[in-house]
Amino acid sequence: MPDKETPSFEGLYKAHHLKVQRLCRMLLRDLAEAEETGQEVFLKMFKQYQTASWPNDWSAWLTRVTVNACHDRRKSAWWKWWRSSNGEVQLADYPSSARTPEQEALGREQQIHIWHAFRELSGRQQEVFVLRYLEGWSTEEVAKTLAISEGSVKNHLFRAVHRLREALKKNGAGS
Amino acid sequence: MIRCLEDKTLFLLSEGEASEEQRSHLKSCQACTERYQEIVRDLRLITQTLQREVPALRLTTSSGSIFFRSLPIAAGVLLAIALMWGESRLWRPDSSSEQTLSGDISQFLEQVADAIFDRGSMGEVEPASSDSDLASVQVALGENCSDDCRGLFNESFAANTKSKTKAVDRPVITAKRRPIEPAMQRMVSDRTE
Repeated sequence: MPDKETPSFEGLYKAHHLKVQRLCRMLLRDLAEAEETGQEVFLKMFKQYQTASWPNDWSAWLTRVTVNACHDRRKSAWWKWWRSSNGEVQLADYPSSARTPEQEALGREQQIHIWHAFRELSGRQQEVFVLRYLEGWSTEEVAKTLAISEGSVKNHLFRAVHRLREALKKNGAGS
Repeated sequence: MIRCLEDKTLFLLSEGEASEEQRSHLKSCQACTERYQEIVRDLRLITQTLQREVPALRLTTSSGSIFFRSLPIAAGVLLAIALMWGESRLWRPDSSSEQTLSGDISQFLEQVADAIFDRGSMGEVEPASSDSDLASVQVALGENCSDDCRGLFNESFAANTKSKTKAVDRPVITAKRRPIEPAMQRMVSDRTE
C-alpha cells in the first residue's frame, strides 16, 4: 500500500502518460485506438498500484505493459482485417522544422518516408525496434519482455533496420 | 584474411556482437569500415526521426477498396436474410394444408355429431305403416280383431300420425335407441306375468 514516501498514483501518471501515449501511437495506427489502449494501460497500473506488489521500476513496467497491450490489440482479427483492407496510409501535419543538424540534412519528405516505412514493418519488428533503439533496452531485456529468444530479437532488428535504411536510401537522403 | 563482411554481420557489430576475427577485419578493411559507418549513421538518423513527435495519420481509402471491403459485409447480410426467410418458410404452414386440415376437422365433428345425436335416422323417420301396426295389434289381441276394433284402431292411428308429423317438423333431437339387455327383458316379462 502507498505511504508518504512512495510516489502517488497521480505523480506516476503525470510522469509517464506522455510516454505511454507516444508508444501506443507508434505501435497502433488509429489515434482513437491508441488513446483507448493508453487508458487500458493506466487502468492496469491503477490495479497494480493498489496491490502490495509494486514493480521496482514503474517506467519499465509501464513500457512492458504498453507494448503487450498494443500487441494484444493488433492480434485481434478485426484489427488485422481493417489494417489489411484499409487504403494507403499518409502522414499528415508532419512538422517541417528540423531540430538537429542531421535532421536539417534530412528533408521533410525523407522523414515522412521513414515514418511510412516504420508503419509498414510487422508488429513484432516495430516492438523490437522501439524497445531496443527508442527505449534503449538491451537485447536480453527485449527478449524477456516479448517472450522470444535473443536470436529472434536480433533477426527482427536486422530486418527492421534493413527496411528502414532502404526507405532512407530510396529518397537519396541516406549515404 | 576473411572476405568482406555481410550487412547482417556489420549490423551485429554495431550491436556489439561479433567474433574477434570479424572485428579485426573491420579494422583492416576500408570498404567494410565505410559500410559499417553508413549503418551506424543511418541508424542514428532513423532513431532521431522516430524519436520526434509521432505524426498524425490520415487513412485514405479509394472507392475500389471501399467496394471490396463492403463485399464480405454485404454477403453476410444477404446470407442472414436468406437464412431468416428460409426458416420462416420452413416453419409457416401453407394455406392448402390448412384448408385440408379444417375440412378434416369439420368432417370429423360431423361424424361425432351424427354418432351422438343420430341425425341420419332422425331425418329418415319412416312413417309407421298402418298394416304392420294393425298386424301387431292383431297378434297382441289373439287374431280376433272385429270390425269395430279395426275402425277404432284406424282412428287412433290417424290421430297418432298427425301428432308424429308435427313432432318431426320441430327440431327435436332424439337419442339412438339402445338394445334392451336380455336380463332387463326377462325382468320386465316376469313382472308382466
